[in-house]
Amino acid sequence: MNTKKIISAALSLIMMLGALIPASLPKAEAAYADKIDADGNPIINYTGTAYATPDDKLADMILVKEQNGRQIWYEEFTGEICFVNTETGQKLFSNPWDVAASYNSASVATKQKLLSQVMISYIDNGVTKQMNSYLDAALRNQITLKNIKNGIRVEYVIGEEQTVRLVPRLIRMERFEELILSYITDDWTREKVNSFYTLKNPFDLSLTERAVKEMRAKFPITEKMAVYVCDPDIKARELSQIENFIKTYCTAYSYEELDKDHQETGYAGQDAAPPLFRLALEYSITADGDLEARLPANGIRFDESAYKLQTVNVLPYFGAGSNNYKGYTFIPDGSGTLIRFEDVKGSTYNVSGDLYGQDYAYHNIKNQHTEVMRWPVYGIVTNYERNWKETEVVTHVEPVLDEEGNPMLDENGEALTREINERLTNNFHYEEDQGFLAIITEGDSLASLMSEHGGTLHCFNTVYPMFTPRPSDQYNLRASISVGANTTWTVTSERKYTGSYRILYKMLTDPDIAAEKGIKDYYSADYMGMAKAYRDYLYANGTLTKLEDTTADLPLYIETFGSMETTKRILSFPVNVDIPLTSFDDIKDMYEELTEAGVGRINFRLTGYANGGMISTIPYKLEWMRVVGGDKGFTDLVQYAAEKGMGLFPDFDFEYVNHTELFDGMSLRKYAVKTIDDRYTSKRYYDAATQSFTSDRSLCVSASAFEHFYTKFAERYLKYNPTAISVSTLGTELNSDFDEDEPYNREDTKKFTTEVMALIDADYKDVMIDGGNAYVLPYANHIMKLSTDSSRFLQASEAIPFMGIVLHGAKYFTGNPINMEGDIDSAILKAIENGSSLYFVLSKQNTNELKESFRLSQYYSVSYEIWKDELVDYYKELNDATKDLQTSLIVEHEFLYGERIPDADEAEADAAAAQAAAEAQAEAEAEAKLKEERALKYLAMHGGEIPEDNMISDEEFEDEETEAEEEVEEVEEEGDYVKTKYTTTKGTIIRVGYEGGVNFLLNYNSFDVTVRYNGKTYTIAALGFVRIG
Amino acid sequence: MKKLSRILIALMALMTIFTAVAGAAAPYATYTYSSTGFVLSSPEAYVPDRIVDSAYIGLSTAFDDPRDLFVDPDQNVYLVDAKNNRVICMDRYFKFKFEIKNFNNEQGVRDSLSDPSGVFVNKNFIYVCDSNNNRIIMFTREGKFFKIIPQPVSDLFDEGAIYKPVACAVDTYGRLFVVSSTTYQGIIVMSDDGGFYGFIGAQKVQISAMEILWRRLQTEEQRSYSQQYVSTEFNNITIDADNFLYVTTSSIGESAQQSAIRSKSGTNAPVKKLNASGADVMRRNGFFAPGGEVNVSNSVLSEIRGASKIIDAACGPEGTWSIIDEKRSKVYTYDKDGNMLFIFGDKGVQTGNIDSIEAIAYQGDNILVLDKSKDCITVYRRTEYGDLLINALANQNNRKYDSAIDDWTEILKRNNNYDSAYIGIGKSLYRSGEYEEAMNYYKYAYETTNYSEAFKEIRKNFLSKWLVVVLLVFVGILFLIAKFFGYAGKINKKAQLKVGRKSLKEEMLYPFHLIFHPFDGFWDLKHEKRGSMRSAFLILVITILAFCYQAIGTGYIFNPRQSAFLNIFAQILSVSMPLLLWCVANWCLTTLFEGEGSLKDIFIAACYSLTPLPLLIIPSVILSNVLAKNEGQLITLMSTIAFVWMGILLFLGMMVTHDYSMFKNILTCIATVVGMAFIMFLAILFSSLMAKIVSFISSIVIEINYRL
Repeated sequence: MNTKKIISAALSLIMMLGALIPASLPKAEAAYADKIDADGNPIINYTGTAYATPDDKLADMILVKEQNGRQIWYEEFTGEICFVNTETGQKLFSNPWDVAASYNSASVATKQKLLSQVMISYIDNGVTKQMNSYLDAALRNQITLKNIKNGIRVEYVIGEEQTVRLVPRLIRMERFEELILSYITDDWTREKVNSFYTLKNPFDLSLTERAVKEMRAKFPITEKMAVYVCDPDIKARELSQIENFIKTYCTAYSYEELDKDHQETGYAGQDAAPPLFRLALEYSITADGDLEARLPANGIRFDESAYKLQTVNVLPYFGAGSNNYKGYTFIPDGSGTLIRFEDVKGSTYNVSGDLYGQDYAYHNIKNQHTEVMRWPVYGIVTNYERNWKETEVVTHVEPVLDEEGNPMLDENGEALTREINERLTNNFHYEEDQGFLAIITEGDSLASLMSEHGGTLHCFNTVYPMFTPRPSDQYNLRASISVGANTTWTVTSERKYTGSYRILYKMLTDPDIAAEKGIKDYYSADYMGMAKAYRDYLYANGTLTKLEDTTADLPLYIETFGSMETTKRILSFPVNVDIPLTSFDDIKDMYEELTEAGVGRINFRLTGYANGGMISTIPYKLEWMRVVGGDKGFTDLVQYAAEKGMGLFPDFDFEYVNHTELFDGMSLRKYAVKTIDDRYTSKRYYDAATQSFTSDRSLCVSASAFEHFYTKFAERYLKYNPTAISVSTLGTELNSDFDEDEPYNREDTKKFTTEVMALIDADYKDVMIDGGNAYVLPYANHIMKLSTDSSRFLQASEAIPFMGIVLHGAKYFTGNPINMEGDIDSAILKAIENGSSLYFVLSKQNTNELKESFRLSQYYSVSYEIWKDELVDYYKELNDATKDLQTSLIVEHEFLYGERIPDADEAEADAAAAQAAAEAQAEAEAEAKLKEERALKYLAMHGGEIPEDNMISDEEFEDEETEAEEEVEEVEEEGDYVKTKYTTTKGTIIRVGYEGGVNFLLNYNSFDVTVRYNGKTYTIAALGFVRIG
Repeated sequence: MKKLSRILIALMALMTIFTAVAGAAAPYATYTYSSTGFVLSSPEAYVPDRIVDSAYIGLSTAFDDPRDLFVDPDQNVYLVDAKNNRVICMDRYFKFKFEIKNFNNEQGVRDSLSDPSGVFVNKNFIYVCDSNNNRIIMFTREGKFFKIIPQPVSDLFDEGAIYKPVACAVDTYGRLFVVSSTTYQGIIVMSDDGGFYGFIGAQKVQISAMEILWRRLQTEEQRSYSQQYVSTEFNNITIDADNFLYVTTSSIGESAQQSAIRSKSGTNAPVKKLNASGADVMRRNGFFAPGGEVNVSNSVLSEIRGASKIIDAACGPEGTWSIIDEKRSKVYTYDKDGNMLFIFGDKGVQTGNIDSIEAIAYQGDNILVLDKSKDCITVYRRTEYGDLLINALANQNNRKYDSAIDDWTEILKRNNNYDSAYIGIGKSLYRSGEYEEAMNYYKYAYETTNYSEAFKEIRKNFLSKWLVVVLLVFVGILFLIAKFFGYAGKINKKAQLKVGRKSLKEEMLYPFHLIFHPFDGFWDLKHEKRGSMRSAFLILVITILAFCYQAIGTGYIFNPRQSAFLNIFAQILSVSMPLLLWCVANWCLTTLFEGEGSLKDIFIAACYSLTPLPLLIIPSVILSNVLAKNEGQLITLMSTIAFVWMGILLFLGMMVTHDYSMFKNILTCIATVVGMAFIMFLAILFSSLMAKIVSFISSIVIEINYRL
């Protein structure tokens, strides 16, 4: 406790020192003065002034930092910044530059939010309240700018700073009249001041006895003296006005006098300290020319006894895109999701998710079917477009003509001229792809990502992280006696996060601008650019390394189950026995059989082979199950695997323990995760029948114990000289621990997990995990169950294989087990799109018994004998398609339109319609010809003009014809694609391009399509693909 | 009791847990119910294929508040757009064909639909339920107005009753079946020119005896205020190719509906299959009657609770049919025998989830589901596993049983959990005479009835082969028993004359005398010291062991899941607790009423009277292993005899021990039973009080902990 205090004191000292460094920004201060008027109100109407272009906005800002070819501009009043790439001239604003112009219906409050860089929500007496940096800091002039190394530091004081006003709240009548009223010479002012005070005089004879009684009850001081009472509901602004009057007129009245008065009348300030939060946001330019924003969590200062800080939203509108343009937000939901502005336009749509998924230390679990956000990245792309007209008046001189068209001459015989002013309107068009990729580099595990699409509230689309500085949880106090039956109780963890929230913004570049400026090395402003930027970032920091080139087959992953306990009847007595599902010898058989069938590079993941089988104790001791071959069986298998080059990944679960027995090394009190109300907690599953979450009875193990268990376990396991291990759950799970004595938040858990993963990585050549949470990527080289699809939200536009694009060529990875998929063909397509390998869950014997165990009955189709042939087929299909691409990077990804191949009857109907149209056309032409002829005849006979009624009928005819034509061809264009009624929906035909010019066209439709690519037309079968190159 | 049921529910909840490893393709889990009511996950039979919304169809005005969906024989899709008062027709790829909105009626006057809510299409016509205008309108298949079917006229309608058609179906003879939302007499049958034929399918009103009595006591005025007992209203109707009607209702009491599902009764079924005369011809041969969710939660804490609210039905290929549950946004699919095939769907905002389900229709192999609040149709595509199911059903329907077994095997490969497949294979094997194999398959599904049939066949074969041996063994056993009793009689006679302490053997053989000669048997027991505490204890132990053996040794047919419920401690308690209670209560009473027996005497007598229990229960357990299900009465008979015998012995034992008259003994025995109840009541009272105190103190401690 003491050390904490010392550390925090030291840190605050450092902070104060930082604040004391003189800010050498004379220009900024000078400009700041220009931004406010005498009353401290902004001169620019930020919520009302419309800027026409980003440059106009920039003109109102000042340049505060320039290095590495990047600039940071700063808006002194609002605290906005703009990040400029001086090479391309492209800009990224921390808040939309066109807040005012954007949307008429957006309320001022909404616009104030749009102008904020930080939004916080806190709990005040059980009520959740919000504050934002524009309303609560900028408008109070409480934003200050400091200079730091490589950047700037913007300090915010959010909320009202309380000051003691020189205004007596309760004052003896005589003193008030003497010291204040008598000094004010101006009648109007005196009246004004007086109007805020009420005289409470018990000695006033005109008052009834009852009134006096009431007065005394309300103001006990009136027992002794008559007093003036200041209006208790007086507003802050009025208070400052009166203070001004008193300061100007009442020279004799001072703070000492005020204290005296309040002491005499016994006035105790009733105003509680208003909520006030101090925090700082630092922007810096990194060596790579990226923008880094940092918000130190321990630098957030507020009255912790009165308020609970819930969430901090950092730069919520950074680079937000407007509905006026096209564009999309990207969130790492599953494999990656795009939400296009045009798809959610008009309705407010928000989607959020916690990074790294569920935390089972909490009582409330939600999001049953959604994919998990495993990587702390997000981004926005906007296709900024501007069309404008400029009118110029061109004057030119022309000769005046007479009726016959000859130039008229003036009396001098010179040609008469006149000046004509012609208005020329030029249409201008400007287009620019803007965008960024944001990577949360610190504090990510405490964040949830929110993709916000204003819809009816405002026109902006944005993604931002919401950070939770101190975890809190609610639980139901059903058993309690002092409250009602259904009351929830919120408890905040003792442990708060003391690191920083750090976000790295990578600016994306418009390819046209880059080409124009001759820049070669850039990330294009689209999701491929984002993926490449993140990929390069991971390669640069050593998380990913390129796989060695190989000509070997595609790896195949098979998860086998070891043994399970079941009840057998021996002499009609029920006895619990272990039965093997796949023994060590079975694995050898499977390997040989599959190798013979042409499957290469088989890797086995062994689940449930030790410490009790499928329902096992924590890995601490290591006892191989006798029924699967025991100790000797495993020793042999390791040797066999080494000889054959077979991958062997025994799986051990350090996160959950589903069975405990004596002397298994597990002490619940010491190692189990506890909830906020000090109970043990378990993993929870969504029960489809009751549509709610239920416990699966596997207790969560505290992350602080991982290392303890692993080191003990490794002593035993390493004796077998294994080359590989699988620690599936370490890659997917992140549970905090609310243990009273040793509380850990998710950031701590993340640290513990990476520490144990580093140990594991050092011990084995190959490490296998599930899911692939960003922080364990450096330590694993085989990732199972990687998301290959998004959650497919109804409002979301398309799923992109972001994870696949980044990982392909650096790690081996697979999607979910193919044999458990409902739609295998789609899963194979997804494997190609993501560049993943195949993964099966299979067992060789006794699979019928799985039904008897409620935990294992989910594996309804895992018999090896059944899947053997199909496994080989699917493997060969994928191996033939992608074998040579294992180390090639995915470089292109594109959504294509295609045409559904019409059915026979549809084609017939089309042909009939075309023929009918052609006939109608011919008929019309014939008729027109006839008419023309008639007209000619008429002319020849009568001379002069064709009578009008004839014309009208002609026109009518023409109208009808065009209408008919329109009905037949209802075409719509997007880009240069002409849509017909057979055109597929977007996102169902995909092109993936690998390095070396290999392309795949994937058809996710349940019907055959034709698609044009590169000038050629390809026919793709339903749920099929075509490889080009 | 409440606590017990809560514990039971919690236990049930724990046991029904299953987890979904479903792939990304579907944001829901597909599952079925096992024969014993457990949830078993299943491969996906349908996966979401695409979302069809206004933009997809190509509508210029988006549809809003859609009410009904229909697929015609050519797979064109019709959608009722209530907000825009129109019916939209699409081709089978969901591209716009035409809309029905305004039309010129018979008088040539411009007319339009108002709040349409149902549509039906057959070979020639489109029938639209124009609800607000109280009529049905026929259009040709091209969408041209044909005629108006006005409100039917009949005396059977209540005076002032409003006719509001919400759904209709037309059979191949042109008869119209109309569901009117305000008509409770049943389904209106009429001709297509409005001629009224009658009502069918009206549900019988069920009023409990208590309610009838209560209504008797009410005044006329009170009765008019109280709930009207009218039969349930139907909410939707669908017709299959054979002119059978599927009607759904959501106005049945939730608990009645739920118990109807478990009891497989049709009375309170939320979905019925009616023939043209209105009789319910639905087959309910599955593990549970069709009617939505089987395990429902009634806890206040759960978001979705209570019985399913069934609002639409649809007929699929091969006699399969589906219903939808508005509460859960789920689709339940059954075959024509009422077997549950699969359940899928969930609430949510992901592709494949339904926010607010409104209607369902089959389009070939696809299932279309209408989402009312998200204004879209979700198209579900059948998977390979779904195809397998349909194939199996097709073969079964065409009586190709040989191919059916292949199909079921194929299904089992994909879905190890599918009980119906085990039974299906079992039946096929049974038909081809492979009884032992069949038994194995039945065993996986815990199906005892069919298992018993197969077992009978095996037994028959065995008997016909070994009849002589079996008979010989039987006679041998009888002979041995007779011999034993003779021996026991001899020893007992000897012991009678013996003075002093008896040997254990003598004591243990004495019960065989006692049970046949209770009067002098108990007299000698007490006065001649024929028994002792040790032998009494031994008999008690043997009885307990017999009950333990009954718990584990009963044949599969009579106790299929026995291993789960064996608890030796419970068996010991179940025998010894009542016995001890009896002894104590009896002793307490008889000491007051001049009883001559001491507590020891009572205990010995009581233990000795237990003798018939092990004597008869052990053979009955052995028998249960060779008897078929319908022969189970023999076992029941044996245990009944055992208990009655024991009762008589106990009664006489007390009488002799205390030297009571018959009348006095009856009185004390009744009083003993009351005394036992009283002791139990006190014990329960005490323990619950203690529990209250403990929970009170612990909650105070917890609360202090929280608040500090």
